[in-house]
Amino acid sequence: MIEFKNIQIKFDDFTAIHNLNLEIKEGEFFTLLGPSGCGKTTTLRSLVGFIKPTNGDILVNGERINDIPVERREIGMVFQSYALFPTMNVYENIAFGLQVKKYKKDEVDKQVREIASKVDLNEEQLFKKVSDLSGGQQQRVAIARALVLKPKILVLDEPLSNLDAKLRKQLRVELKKLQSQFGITSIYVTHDQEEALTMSDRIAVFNKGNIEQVGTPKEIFDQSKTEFVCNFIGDNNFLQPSFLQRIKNECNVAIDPTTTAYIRPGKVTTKVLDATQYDVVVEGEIVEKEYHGISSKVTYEIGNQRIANMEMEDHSNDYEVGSRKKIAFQIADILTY
Amino acid sequence: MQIQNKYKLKNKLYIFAIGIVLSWACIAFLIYPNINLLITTFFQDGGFTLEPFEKLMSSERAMRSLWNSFILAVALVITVNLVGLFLVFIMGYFEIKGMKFLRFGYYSTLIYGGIVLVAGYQFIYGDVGIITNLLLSIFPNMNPNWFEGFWAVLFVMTFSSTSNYVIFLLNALLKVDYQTIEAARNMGATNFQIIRKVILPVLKPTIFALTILQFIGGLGAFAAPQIVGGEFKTITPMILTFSGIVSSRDLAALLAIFLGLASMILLAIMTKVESKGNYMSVSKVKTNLVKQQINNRFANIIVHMMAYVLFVLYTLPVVLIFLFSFTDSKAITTGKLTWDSFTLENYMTVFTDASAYQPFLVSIIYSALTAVIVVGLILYIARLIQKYNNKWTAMLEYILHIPWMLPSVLLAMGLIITYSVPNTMMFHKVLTGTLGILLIGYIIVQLPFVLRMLKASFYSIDTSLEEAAKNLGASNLRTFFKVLLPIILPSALALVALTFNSTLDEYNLSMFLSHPFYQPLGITIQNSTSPESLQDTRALTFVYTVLLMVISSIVLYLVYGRGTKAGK
Amino acid sequence: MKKSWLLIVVLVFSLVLTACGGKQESSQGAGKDKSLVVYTNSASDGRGDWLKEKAAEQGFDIKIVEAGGGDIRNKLIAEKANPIADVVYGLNEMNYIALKNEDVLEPFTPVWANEVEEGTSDSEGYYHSLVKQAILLIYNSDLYTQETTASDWPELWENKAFHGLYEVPTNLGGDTTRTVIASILVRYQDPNGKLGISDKGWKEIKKFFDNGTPATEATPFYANLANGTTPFGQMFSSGIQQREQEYGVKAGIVSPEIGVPYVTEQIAVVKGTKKKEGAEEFINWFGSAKVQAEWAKAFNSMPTNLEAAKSANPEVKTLHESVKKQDMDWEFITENIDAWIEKITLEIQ
Repeated sequence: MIEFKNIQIKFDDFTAIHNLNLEIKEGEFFTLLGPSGCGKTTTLRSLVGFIKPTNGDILVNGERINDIPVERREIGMVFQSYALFPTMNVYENIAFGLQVKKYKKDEVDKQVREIASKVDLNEEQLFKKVSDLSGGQQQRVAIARALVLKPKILVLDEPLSNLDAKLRKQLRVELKKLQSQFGITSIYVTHDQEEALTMSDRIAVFNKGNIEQVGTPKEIFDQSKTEFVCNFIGDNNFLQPSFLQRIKNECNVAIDPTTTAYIRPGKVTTKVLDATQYDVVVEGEIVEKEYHGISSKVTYEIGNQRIANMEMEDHSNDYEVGSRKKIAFQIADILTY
Repeated sequence: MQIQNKYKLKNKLYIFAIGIVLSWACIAFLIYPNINLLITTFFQDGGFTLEPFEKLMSSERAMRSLWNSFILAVALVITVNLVGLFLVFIMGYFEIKGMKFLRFGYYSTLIYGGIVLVAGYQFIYGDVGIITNLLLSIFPNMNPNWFEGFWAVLFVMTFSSTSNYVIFLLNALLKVDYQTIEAARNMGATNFQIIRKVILPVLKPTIFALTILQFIGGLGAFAAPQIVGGEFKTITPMILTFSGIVSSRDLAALLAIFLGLASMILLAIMTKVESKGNYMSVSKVKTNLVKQQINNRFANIIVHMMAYVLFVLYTLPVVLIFLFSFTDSKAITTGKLTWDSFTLENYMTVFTDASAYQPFLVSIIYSALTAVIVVGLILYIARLIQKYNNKWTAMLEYILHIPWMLPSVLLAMGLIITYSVPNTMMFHKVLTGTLGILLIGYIIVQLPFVLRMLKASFYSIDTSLEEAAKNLGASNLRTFFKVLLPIILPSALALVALTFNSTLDEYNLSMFLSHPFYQPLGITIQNSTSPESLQDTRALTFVYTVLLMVISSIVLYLVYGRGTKAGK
Repeated sequence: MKKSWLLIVVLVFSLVLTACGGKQESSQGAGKDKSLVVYTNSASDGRGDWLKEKAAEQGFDIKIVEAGGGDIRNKLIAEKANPIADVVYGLNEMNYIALKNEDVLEPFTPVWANEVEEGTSDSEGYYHSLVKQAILLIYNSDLYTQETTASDWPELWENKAFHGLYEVPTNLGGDTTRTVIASILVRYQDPNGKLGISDKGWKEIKKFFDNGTPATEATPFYANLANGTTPFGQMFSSGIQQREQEYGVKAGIVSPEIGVPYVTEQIAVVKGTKKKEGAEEFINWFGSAKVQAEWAKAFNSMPTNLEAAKSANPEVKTLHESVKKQDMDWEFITENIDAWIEKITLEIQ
């Protein structure tokens, strides 16, 4: 549905986006993920029309939109600060776009109320000042305001970045629910990998103006294509050449000890019932245990290699620091670069 | 326990002492002289008389002056808002070519004001002015006194008031979250709709406050109606006239009371609206405003043209005053310039003749003292008000606003009448004929403005900073000087500058209170604009004006120039 | 930040210096009896400097404070309890009557008291006359002749030909202006009228203001007289000569049948002065026939000192001989002038 073709974006002599090619499908919840300054927001803003690409085409439903002004693109936007108009109440904020488009008064009223009820804003809240709303309610107003214009696409620029952890988690769920309820193609910008993994249908990981990888959350996590993606997403155990050499010798696996290799915590198991099922089985000493509530992060030491693993606190793993344990993993789960 | 008691006692004693000193100062300088003035004027022969009231009511001219003042205030509100908003938007919102340069022009009325400014305008547009001469050579039949009356007053006052207006409103504009503008654009709003529906509502409280101040300024207008008003008479010059006639002071006081009441009502409305009508920004992360290109080519050209025309209107007086300060008196009175007209003599006189440079020195010293004392005092008082928020401090705040409600002429008369004879309130010290009384007068009139501004900056400080400092063991004094003062200092210094500049060419108070040996500049300049003065003194006026501009500019640069650098 | 603090420090420092300097001056003055503060409305056109110089030759150290007559009067009254001035000269009799009534003056009889024209000084010796001044209606003699000019103030508004061609004052505080108004109003003295003036009188003064061109702050009257904007207007007699030179125009003088108002400028000791003796010595010197004669020569004044009057400039003498003195009741005028000015300001101007 949305296509970025050979997009290049330059600000004076700084190139923000080098050569971007990306396709987003109808109804998808698509996330642009990356550290700050990687070009993800720039990409989003070029889609909305605030920035003109220096090169390349942006297509929506096969139509080139590079020269269509912002307001004609039918793309709703939720801003980082929500950008709610502080001088208007909730109702007026939502009605703003409709009034600009010169809808009739009763039509405006009908649509505002319709969208308000869809995002769970009640009558009383509709006439409150926006500053009297909670963060979650403000987000719903911002989304309602964007959706009331029935855009083809909804873009969200780090809308959760300024909220506390608990609210963020809660709103994440709510946001995803709303998106799937409306079924609208959504593009979401964030630097929070957890947010990206939990909410997205697909993710594009950005780094220094380039896309490192596009894929489903599982692909991104399990099969990180580049070292950058691997490190940016989730925790990692870096595997030292000496360790690689050791498992190559001891377990007889085909691995090049000189490559850069990682294994993610969670891909390691300690419940080795049948050693033949695993490519690598080694014994390690538990040197550290970090309690997380539901699970614990347990660190094993095998020679000078440390490997951390997430283990459930379900009493099946109640071992003490200092005890020794067999750990095993599959060679396919080693990410090499 | 004992230690605690000791602290308690010490604190109580301190508060008590402060309370006594402040109460005395408030009563002695702000309340008693004014009440005394009212009593002596309205209870002249032992009984209360409504005679002055009747006199005024039956005077067609007084009523017309009142009406004129009102009309002027209304018109001024409209013109200043129009010009001011236009300037604010071209300075802060739209991309205008050459704005870096143009803005200096728009701020030019910050470096001169009052009588000096009006005299400058009169010099350019008046009957022998440069512009008038130019126009006369094109339209020989036009009236050389065209720059006179209501429109001339409105014109001069509009330009002289907008610089201040722009400073405050521009500040408010820069606080707008740019994301809200993008959001509106995203929803299809045009530039015009964005300004009207998104930006203006945010600016509304500031515009409202500025409008009220403008209205009060219009009501109390003095210099412009006095000099270019012609037949268009307003109240303040009339107050001045009547206050000069001892037997007519009741009329002056009554007119002043009317002005005071009007100001009081307006200020009350302002406070009311301010307290409830304020919105709170919901943006947790603000994006800075990005200047907008005007897309419509035609509109862009028009806006650019208006911007440059305004620039010329703002800078012309400054440039011409500068130019003519180097000419002989003949060129000044005829407005005709030849190569032979140029001379350095005026400057030589001002710098070498003691009687010529003395007024200048006197004004600078008075203004510097006034500025430093007022800001220092109000720093302390504002802190007091913020810290002990109770009915006493609330009352103190109201009392400190009195000078805003009374014209300065009335304040001066009150001080003179009350302290020209030994009075218990002043420990039997006669103040008239001393150097101090003018300083007191200057300080009094500056109190309200400085208080309002400084209080706002105190309240904008994050309270946790103070708590943190205390938590780390800093004493009250240390907290104030090491933590709070550095935060407030930029605004305090800016206020020192503004107070200094506005006191430099003060006239109304100076006329009543100045020591005959140490006459400030305002008097000298006013004297030299009077028709009886010889031409040489008029030439000196231009030198004074140029020097005033230079000093004001230096002060403004020290404060704001530095400030912007630090901001970056 | 440091820079602005420096600025403030420098300013305060310079203030302290100036303040000390001022004190030094005054303390010096306290020791020396002959350093005097003189208030006057008559120091312009070089008079002040002349006086300072001549007085210095006699060992006087004179400090002159100049302002309009009404302002000087108000200042003296305001400073009554703490007077700065030692001597006041130059104001007209109206002001001195007010000052005497306000108890601002100290009675004193100068050595020359008997030499002056009779009836021009205070009978109780509070103030003594120095010069007389005719307050004249003048015209531009290039544009009008004795035949074509208006013959008296009323003709200016009665004859339509003069409408708009004479300047009427806008600021009614000046002594000259007040005298002109008084000279018109006293023609209609009526004990039953408002403020002692008949209705007709008020109508006339209204016509005076209605048909004239108001003075502007910007352009001096003489400039307008010269360029023909307003070829008629008021002038005090001793001011004519110098302005004729300055503006290059010869003024014609209207000599009405009823006469022209004469004011006498006075001199007096301020009550409460700490230098009474010095002040008296100064007055004895300044009012003497010799000094007044020199003063008259230098500034075209007409001394009331009969001896000095002889050496007045011939033009001045001719001028004073050519006009008749209008008979005016100054007590009556002094009593009412403020109320008249108030009424005019409120209802007429």
